[in-house]
Amino acid sequence: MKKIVLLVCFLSLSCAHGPTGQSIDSGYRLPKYTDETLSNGLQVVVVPNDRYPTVSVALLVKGGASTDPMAKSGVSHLLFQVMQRGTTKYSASEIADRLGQTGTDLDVAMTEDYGWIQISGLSQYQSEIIEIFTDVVLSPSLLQNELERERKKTLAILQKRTEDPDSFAAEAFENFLFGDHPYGRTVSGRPRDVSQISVADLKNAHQRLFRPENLILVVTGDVSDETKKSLTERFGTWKQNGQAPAFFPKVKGPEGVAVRLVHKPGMTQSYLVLGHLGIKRTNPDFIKLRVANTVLGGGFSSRLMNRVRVQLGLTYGVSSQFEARKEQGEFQVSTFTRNQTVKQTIDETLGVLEKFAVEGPTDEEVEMAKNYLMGQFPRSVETAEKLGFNLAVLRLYGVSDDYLKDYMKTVSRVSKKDVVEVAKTYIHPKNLKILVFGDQKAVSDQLKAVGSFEVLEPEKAF
Amino acid sequence: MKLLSFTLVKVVLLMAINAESFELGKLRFPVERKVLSNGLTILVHEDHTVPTVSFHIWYRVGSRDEDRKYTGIAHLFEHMMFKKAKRYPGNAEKILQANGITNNAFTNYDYTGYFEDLPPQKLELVMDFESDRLENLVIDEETFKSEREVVKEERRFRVDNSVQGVLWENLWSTAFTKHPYSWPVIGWMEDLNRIDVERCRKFFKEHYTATNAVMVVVGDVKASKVFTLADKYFGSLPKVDHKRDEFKPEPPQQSEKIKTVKLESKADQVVVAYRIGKQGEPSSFNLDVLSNILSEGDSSRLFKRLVYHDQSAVRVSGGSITPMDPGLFAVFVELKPGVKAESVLPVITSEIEKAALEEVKKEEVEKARNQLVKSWVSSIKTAHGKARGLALNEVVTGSYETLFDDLKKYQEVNPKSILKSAQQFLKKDNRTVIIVKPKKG
Repeated sequence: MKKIVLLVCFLSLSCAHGPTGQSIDSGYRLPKYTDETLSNGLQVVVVPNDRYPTVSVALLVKGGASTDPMAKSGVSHLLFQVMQRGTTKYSASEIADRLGQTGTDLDVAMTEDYGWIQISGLSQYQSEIIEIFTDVVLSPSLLQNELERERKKTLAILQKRTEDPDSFAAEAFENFLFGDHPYGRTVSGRPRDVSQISVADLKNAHQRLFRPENLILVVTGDVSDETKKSLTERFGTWKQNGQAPAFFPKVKGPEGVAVRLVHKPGMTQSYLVLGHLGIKRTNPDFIKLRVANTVLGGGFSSRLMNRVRVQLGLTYGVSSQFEARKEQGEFQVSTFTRNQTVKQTIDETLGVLEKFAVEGPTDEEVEMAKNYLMGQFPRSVETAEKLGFNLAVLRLYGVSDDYLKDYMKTVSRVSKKDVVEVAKTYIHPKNLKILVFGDQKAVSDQLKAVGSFEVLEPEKAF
Repeated sequence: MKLLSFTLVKVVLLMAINAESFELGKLRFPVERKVLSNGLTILVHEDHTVPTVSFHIWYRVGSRDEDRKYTGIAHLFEHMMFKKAKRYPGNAEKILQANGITNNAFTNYDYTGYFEDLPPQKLELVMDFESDRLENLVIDEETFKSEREVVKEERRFRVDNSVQGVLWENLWSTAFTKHPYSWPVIGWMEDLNRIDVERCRKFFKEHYTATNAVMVVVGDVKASKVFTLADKYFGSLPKVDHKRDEFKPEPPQQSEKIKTVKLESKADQVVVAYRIGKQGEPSSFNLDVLSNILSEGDSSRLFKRLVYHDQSAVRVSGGSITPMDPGLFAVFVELKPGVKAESVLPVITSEIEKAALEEVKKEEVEKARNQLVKSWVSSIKTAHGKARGLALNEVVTGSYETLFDDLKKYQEVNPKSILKSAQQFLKKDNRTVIIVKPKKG
């Protein structure tokens, strides 16, 4: 293939999930979609689009890894892996070969708030595609040997995670911030818990998560009437016994500034995450905070980027985000720098945060951020799959579709005063947790100058 | 993550897939092409379904065109393109953002691409901005020095602190010795320190001209408007003769090359690669299909063997990498902690080289074709994806048409043609192996 690895000039600053900005053209309308709730409580969203010969069928499973029982962290993640390895009708081998043969992809993802299981392929094979999907979702065999295989793989990946310092630092920060709350655990679980999970645990997790009223079925692309009918029949009559997922507890974060160093020898760069508790997705200030965050650390001309990268050359990338969740999520700034400039980077980042929390943005910055969010909005729902995903996430959090329909209007109405207020309300430099992932020998003198700090080995950081 | 299966090479054919049943004609979109008198090539695809436009301008310059002593200059220079010009003296990022535009760039062996994703009514602004930096870029000492530090951070991030980065860099620098593909796109650290402002200015003058560029615009615009604006903003730029260096072919490999690198990592990783031909040759299509059969997804041969059956690896990936000049057929394997690469290596090489001993099954070819078509369609669903596909093909193969023609070429691939290509390239003497191991253990 001609496509090969690329060096991209900036780090990707877009959100991986969730809706983003909207068109500057106020006449923009969302593509058509349908939405219904079946008699068993299953919500079904269909976004038709016959421009491309592909279909995708997905389920959003409400209550993701955070609903794992305390001593069973990682069970939802493991369930999603083992579900693909055989059903009462097909063996793991048959599933893989059937899907491979038609060029179909089955993808799963587990997050703190939800799971996502999706099958996508060429529309000419849609009847086979939905048959396998239905079988995987409703009748997984969850065999012991398949569990062992996936368990070993998960444990191996957990052991290797310091090899990816960027995402390791992000996870270690969540543990630092959320502590024993489910948000403080890695989605794929603590190794000691993963080692203990049994087939019965997987079956319980399947009953708990895969319940009609707990799911949103998202069908997108070149879908035939027959496929829609068949999906409604298969999923509409289905019931599940047992308990629904329990709501997870309220978040309580530690107060005051605290510093944690996770030590890995030999690193030539240190990874930094600074932050504190943020907001729930239902917070009415959500959009105002998006505007605020765009000014602070949400794009290439943000204040953080301008100071830390452009003016001082301390890093290749720095960004901030409010990750809004079912419960209170997090606000965080993440970056990395060479070992010699760790303290300087922390100081400069703090300087930008403090000024922003006190003064907020300028008029010009607010207008820029609003236009940016509006201008980029159509891209966030450009394909049927993207729109379908966004609609599902809104349903998960109980946010109306008006969020998307009125996005532009809402953004355009945000005032400078609004943004100054939310910056003051939601950004607290005096309450920051600072996580440093780096070589203790190379950075501890600098960290002493920041304040007292604890040192942990990577294995203890979760 | 996808599925896996537990039998070894046994492919269970459950449904007959007739490759001919794809209506390949449907899998293309109309493109208008125009070349200005100064040689600027313009490609436009109108798509009025979503109010967004993707604007790309790619230059026919990459790390391939660098001087061996100044590796990394193409990419470092790409960073300088975001600094100052005449009509946008350091404020371009703010202006673009204030107009709802996102932008970025990338550098590769063979090309450097810049893009903006914009609301349709902002096309003229983007044309003005892109033509200004092409015509009037200012490269000053102070900005250069600061940006060089940013790029050095990028190198530490992408290579020095990344197992994958180390593996990739060592692969190309071992498999190639003479050709520019032997050095990394991001450059060697000592070369980054050696590059100065003067050299950047010279690089700009030599490579950044309208003649050497390809502009691609996809989305909610009229082609006629694109051509008019392109003429207005780029039409007066001079025509410059460019001749891209032809490199003497990399000398044929005489024997297997193996290199081991020790890192602060947790588990062994290995890449097994073979020197192959260039893009567009029939072998490249055979090897694309074979690569899918070996390492794409959970039904692939190597996944089944290493991840599922032997449980020695956590991930397998691969690709037949064909830039402008001859490239590499590579398989990457991430082993579990405690598993030694040396013990798995014979399994990997025998699975790969088996393709040179016996024909793959017809069903495997059909499967790979379906996977390639699905992945192709997924890549062109957005305006940005379409623009990128067109630009890549126009720059690397000389014609955007190959974006569509490649799909037809895959239909011609069969077990016999794959066997022939495998026999030509997948040989021990043509093999390069890189192993990354933890320092401890």
